[in-house]
Amino acid sequence: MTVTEITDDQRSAADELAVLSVHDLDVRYDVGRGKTVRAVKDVSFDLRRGETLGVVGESGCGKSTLARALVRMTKIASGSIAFDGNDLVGMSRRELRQIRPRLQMIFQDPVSSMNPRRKVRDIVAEPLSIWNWKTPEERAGRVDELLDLVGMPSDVFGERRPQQLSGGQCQRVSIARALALSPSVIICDEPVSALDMSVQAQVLNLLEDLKAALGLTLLFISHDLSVVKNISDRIAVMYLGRIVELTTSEALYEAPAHPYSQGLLGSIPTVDDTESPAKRRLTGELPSPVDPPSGCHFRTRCPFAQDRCANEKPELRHIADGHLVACHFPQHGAAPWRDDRGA
Amino acid sequence: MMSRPTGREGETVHPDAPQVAEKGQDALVVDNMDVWFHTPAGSNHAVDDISFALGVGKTMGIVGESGSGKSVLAKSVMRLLPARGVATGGQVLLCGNDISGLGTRKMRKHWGSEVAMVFQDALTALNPVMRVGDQIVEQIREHTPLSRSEAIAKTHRLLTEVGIPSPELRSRQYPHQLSGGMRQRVMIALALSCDPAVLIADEPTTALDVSIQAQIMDLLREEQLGRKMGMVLITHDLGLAANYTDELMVMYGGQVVERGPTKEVLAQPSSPYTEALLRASPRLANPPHTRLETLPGRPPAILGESAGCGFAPRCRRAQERCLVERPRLTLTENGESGHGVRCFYPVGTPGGHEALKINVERGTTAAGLELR
Repeated sequence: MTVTEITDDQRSAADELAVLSVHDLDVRYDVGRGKTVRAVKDVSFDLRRGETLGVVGESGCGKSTLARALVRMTKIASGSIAFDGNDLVGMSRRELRQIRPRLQMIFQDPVSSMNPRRKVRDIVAEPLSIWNWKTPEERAGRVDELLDLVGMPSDVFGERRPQQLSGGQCQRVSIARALALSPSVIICDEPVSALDMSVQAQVLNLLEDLKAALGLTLLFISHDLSVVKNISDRIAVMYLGRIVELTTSEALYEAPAHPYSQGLLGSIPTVDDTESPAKRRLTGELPSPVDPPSGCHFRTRCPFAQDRCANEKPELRHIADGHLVACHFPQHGAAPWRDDRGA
Repeated sequence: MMSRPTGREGETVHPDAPQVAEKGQDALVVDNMDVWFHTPAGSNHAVDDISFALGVGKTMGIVGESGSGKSVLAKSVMRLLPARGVATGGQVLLCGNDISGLGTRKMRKHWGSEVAMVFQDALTALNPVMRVGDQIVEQIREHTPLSRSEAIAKTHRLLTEVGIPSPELRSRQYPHQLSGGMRQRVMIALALSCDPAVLIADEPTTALDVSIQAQIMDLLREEQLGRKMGMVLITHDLGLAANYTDELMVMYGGQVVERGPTKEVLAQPSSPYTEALLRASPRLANPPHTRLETLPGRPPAILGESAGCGFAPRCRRAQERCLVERPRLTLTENGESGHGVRCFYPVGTPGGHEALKINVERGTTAAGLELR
């Protein structure tokens, strides 16, 4: 097996496909006493036109910070985000405003992301009014169309307020609102985590349908690997601010190469294997993001850690076509997390 | 009759001495439990005629979506529901003692030593202004004749047992100084501190990350097996139930719609609701973009006393009978395993097949749900 760094040629070829191209993105939070947390560090990836890219990781891994950074809702320390060829990082507020209709976001808690005192119809119409989209009559027509699209006919739900809706219905309204200005990219931050199972399936199917019908590109963030695998074409696994593995959904499940991805997969109890919960587990807890371990951040919990892991930061590199891993000792072979060696 | 733990030799009894009485007796028996909440909008039958028996050292899983009544059931068993506005019925036998109708004062001697509970949110369940060690010591002193120093020693041992390093240091900390996983371990140590015969775990890992969830669930299982403790695991996660329970009850709208050995229920679901839940959950083993089968509508918020089956409005098999008559929990064909279902037209039976066929042909169910 040969290990290749990402070449400039590959990079420019990928850029043509990429609708959103992120390079060496860094986000820092000041946590007082002169300390900073690098919530997102050296993150690079391409979001290809028409794909769904899943981002998965545990709490504190920086996935939500990444989402917020991509729409510039949080301050970016360094790096670049190219959206349709425009660099978002260097943009003024005014320029950003021009971009935002094409880059929308859906949040985890649909109820608190909506003004409780406004009617569903007005909530969905708001982006249109802000942009002074066509005439008020045409706007009303567009709202009806949007609400139909998400399965919430406006004659039934248009006059209701968020508190009169269930969580799933609220999430549909916020999807309709995100779609109002015909975005090309939607960033979904844990959109189904707060929903019941039966409702979660409805919203996931809706997102799939809308993506196909409107040619959307999705960045789908979740802590739930089963959900992410179901909806994504490719998945990025994050750990303490870094992407540790990025590959197709199938490859991540069939042959996870990073020990963290393996542990994550091994920790998920599934209905399909009731026999042995004794799969490879992750031991220990997440180290403090204020003072992460040197070198590879995962080494303190990694069963394969060597001296090199403490001294040298593993770069994200190709181990197979389209399979990127940041590990000095990537694991090979068929899904070792599925046997009970680690029991 | 079972004796109170007062005569126990304290320290030496742990770890393998469950509080269970005679041989062959179930740790927990719940008979025809009902809970009504009286609200200005009317009475809500939150738990509707539920009966089950939990054997010594067994785990009973209770799964259901929000509002299905699973947490109310647990709180009712614990007798933690408020007295005002709540009416309960039925009998609860804990280690052979009838605890139904007991008030807080009388329940005190059962809490901790016979039945203990692990809650979802450890941060609100633990006392925020008391060191975690003191909280465990207090409980041990309340229920056992141990001296303070013995109780402290036991606390340190318990903390070590649940995987907390440097227990002397940790027991002097306050809940907010611990991570979520550590807090949950403390709550488990607290629950185990008086060697209960039954542990009720209400979504014990829902607030935790998946890697910590696996650690906590493995810990709970280990403790449960080692202590031969009965456990009730309440969860919305079918995968968790599949891996950590022996028996399963599926709840919907306050009723048990299906019950039986976990493997059997999940492999051959008999209730249309269980089947629909399984088909609606994304599975890791499936390829990406697998279409999820959805249940139309949403879980009932308040189930009035409907004439028919509570699930009928969302059920693809619903017939006229389902709207006017309430199905009873009856054993399925291979009922010797105790597999029961509350449905007139169960999945995998000729009757169920026929009902679905009729509905597909007419394009709608008896409840008016359109089938595509």
